[in-house]
Amino acid sequence: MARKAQIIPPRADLKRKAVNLTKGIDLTLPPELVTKLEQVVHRSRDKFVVDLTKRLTAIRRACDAVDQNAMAMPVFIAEVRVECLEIKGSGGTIGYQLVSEIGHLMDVFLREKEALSPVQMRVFRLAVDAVFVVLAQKITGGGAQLEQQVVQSLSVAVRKYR
Amino acid sequence: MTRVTPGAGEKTMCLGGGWSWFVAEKIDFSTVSFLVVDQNPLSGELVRDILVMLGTQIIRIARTTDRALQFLKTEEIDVIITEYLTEPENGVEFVDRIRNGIDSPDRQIPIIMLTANSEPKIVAGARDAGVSEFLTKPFTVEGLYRRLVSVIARPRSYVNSEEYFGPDRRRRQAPYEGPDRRADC
Repeated sequence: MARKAQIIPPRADLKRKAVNLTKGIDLTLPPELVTKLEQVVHRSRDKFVVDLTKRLTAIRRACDAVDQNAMAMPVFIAEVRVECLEIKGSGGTIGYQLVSEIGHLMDVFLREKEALSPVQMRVFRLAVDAVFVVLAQKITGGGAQLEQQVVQSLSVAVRKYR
Repeated sequence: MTRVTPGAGEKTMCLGGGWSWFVAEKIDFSTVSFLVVDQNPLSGELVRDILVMLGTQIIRIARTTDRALQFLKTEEIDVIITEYLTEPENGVEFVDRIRNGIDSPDRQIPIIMLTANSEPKIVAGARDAGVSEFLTKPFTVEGLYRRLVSVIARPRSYVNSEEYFGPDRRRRQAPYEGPDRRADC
C-alpha cells in the first residue's frame, strides 16, 4: 500500500521576519508605488530595445546560414526558439505588447519542429521583419488597427503553415 | 460571494460585537534576501531594480544554475526567482534539484518561476517539480508583487509523498468525499 502523504505546515520564519503592521509595503500595492515601479521598468526600455535588435539580427543571420546549409536545421530551431522566447518575454514587459504577441507567434510556429520548409521559412522571416518594424517605428502598446491586422494575419499564417 | 477586505485604518466590526481598527499587514522587504536566476542579464537586472525599489537590500543574480546553487550553499537566501531558460539545467530541473536533491541546501525555500515559456507541459512540469508560484513573461509589476506577497505573507503547507515534495498544489479547499490519503501532520 502506498505511503500516506505527509502535510508539513507552512514555515513561519520568513513571514515572521518580513510581515508586520508598521514597516514596509501594504500587501496590496499602492497606486503611487505601481507608478514608481513602472518608471523603473521603463527606464530600462532603451537597453531592452538594443538587446532585442541584436537578437533579431542574430535570428536573421541564422536564417541566412540555414538557407545556405551553413547551419543544421535542428540547431537553428533550438537556438532561434530561445531568442523568440526572450523577445516574447521582454517586449510586453517594457511596453511593446506587439513585440510579445509576434514573439509568441514565432515561438508557437517553432514548437516541436525539427525542420522548416522554404514556405515556413518565409513566414518566419515575415514575423522577424514585423518585430523589426514595431521596434523601428517605436509602436508601443497594442498598436492601432493596422498593426492589429498585421498581427492577426501573421497569426493566420502561423496556423496555416505550421 | 464577494469578500471585501477593509482598507488600512478602516473601522470594522468584530465577531463578538464591538468595533476595532483594521490595521493592514505590510512586508518589510529589507529583511528578505532574493536569488534571481536568469541567463539574460537584462531580465535579471530588471527584476533586481524592481526588488530594490521595494526596499530589498540583498539580491544575488546568477546566470547559471550551478552559480545559483553556490549562492544557496554559501549565503542565506529567502526567495528564489528563476527563469525556465537556464543552463546547464533548465528551470524545472533546477526546482526539482532543490526540492528533491540530496545536496539541497533548503528543500522548502519559496521558488517563483518567471519565464517566457508558457507551454502547458512546462507549466505542469514546474508545478509538479514543486514551484511555489509561476508567472509568465511579459509580466507586470503588480503580477510579480502578487507572487511575492503569496510566498512571503501567505505561505502554503508542503506535501511530502512518494511522488511529490513541494507546496500544496490544492489552492482551494473544495469539499471532498473520497478516501483520505493524507497522513496527519
